[in-house]
Amino acid sequence: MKKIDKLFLIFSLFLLSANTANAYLDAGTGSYVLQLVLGGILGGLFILKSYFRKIIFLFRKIITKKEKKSNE
Amino acid sequence: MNRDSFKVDGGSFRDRGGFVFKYKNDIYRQINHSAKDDFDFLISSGLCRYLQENKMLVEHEEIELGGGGYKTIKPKKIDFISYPYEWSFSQIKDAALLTLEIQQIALEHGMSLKDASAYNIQFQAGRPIFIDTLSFEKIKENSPWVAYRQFCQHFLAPLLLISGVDIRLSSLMSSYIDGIPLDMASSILPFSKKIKPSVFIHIYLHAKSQKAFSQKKISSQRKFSLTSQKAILDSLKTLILKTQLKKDKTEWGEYYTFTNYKEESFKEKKDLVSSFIDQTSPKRVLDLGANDGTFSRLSSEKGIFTVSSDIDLVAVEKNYLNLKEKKEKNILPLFLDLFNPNPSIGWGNEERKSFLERANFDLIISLALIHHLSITNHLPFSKIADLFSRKSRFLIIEFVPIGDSNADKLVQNRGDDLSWYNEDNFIKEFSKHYTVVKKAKINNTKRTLYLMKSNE
Repeated sequence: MKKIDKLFLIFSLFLLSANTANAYLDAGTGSYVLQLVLGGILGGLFILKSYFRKIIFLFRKIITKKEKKSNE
Repeated sequence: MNRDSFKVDGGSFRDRGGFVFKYKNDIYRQINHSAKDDFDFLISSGLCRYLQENKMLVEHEEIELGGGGYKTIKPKKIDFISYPYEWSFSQIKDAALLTLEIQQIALEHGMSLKDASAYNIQFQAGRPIFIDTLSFEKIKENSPWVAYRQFCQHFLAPLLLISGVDIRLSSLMSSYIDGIPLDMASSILPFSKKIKPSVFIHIYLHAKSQKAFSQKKISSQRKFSLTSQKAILDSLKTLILKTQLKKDKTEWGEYYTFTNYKEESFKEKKDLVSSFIDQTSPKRVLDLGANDGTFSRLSSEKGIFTVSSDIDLVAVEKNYLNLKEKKEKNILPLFLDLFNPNPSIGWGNEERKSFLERANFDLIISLALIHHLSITNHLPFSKIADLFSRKSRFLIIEFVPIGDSNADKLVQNRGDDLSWYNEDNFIKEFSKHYTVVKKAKINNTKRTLYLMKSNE
């Protein structure tokens, strides 16, 4: 298991033990920490997604070019 | 500047960078010296121009009023200030997507939104627009998005609850001025919705994280890259784009498919209402009980700004989707429960104004509504006439008598005496506030249309 996945699993288990939040407490820190954890995981997926989109775009471009040529 | 005509907006106190004020019936925004750098960068980076050119951010001009602060700007006037608890599902969804898109564009310009409040969005000319020019700050390197929590509370939680549980849960937004608490959203959402990965992360884990780290001081040396922030924004956007409203059928959603009168009478009613509107030359119209906005369009299509309100959120949704499809500019569909109009909320009850405080119209249209107000809600004619006459000069009202099949549906199984509900009493009470200008029977129906002018 990758280091980042382990970190996420530990973080998730830690959070699952927390109960209802009280309204008078500052909720900002939790959102901050969650983003730090999410950033790593989603960031990786985001980069993969961007590459995937680029590849799809490239393929489409090639196919369109071929179609144009065969029509000519 | 004459200080007597100057009033700071009751909802404008959170941002130390400036505030909104009213001066001689116009709205201005003061930019304090503390916000100088961010405001100047908003302009010099080209972000402001880009967003304004693409109608995403309200246009403004710099004004010299002789007050304090670094600068004063005068934003372009919004036709009617509305709040998220008055919007239908797709209105909230479009407002959420606009906020995310602005944040994505801001990042490309080296800036970021410092808040993601739903109150920063208004609907103008048929589309959402961001109105808080002071919400932008320079990117703080290696920092996550400071408005992530607020975005989830103001947009994501309501959208998931509306689409996944009940359309009426949008009203929770009026109870929680800073958005729906995430632990509450998490407890309401059914298990099947909550286990979807992105919902699990942004709602469930988010709520747990808030609880786990409350009152804890953290000292993180961890760098947070721009890619990470873009990834979180992309994840939020994908999730929001996927939210869909359940295809529920409500009492009113199909109203015009099941009217109790013939097509000729419907057309005749439309022609009459249209000619009554022409006689009053209004600039601002409020259509009450507008359903999908069929009759509201009689005024909006004449170029008159029209708030098209209804108690049924599915009808408001249909109305909004219609205007989006046809790119209509003069109509604003809103949810309004006339039996219990939205009150003023927030600090000192001054942050978000009540519906009636904002209601300032030249003409009210009230078609096929009086029987619901008087029979269902037991409202005497005097109370209805009093309220309507305080909110607009002209009134187009349809009287639906007992004997009309739709009114009869409300009367059946009622044991109380409803003999007072008749046209004579209606005219007697309304005449205390109004003068009848025109009266017309709608052929082949028992209904009468009135055009009235307020005596006040």
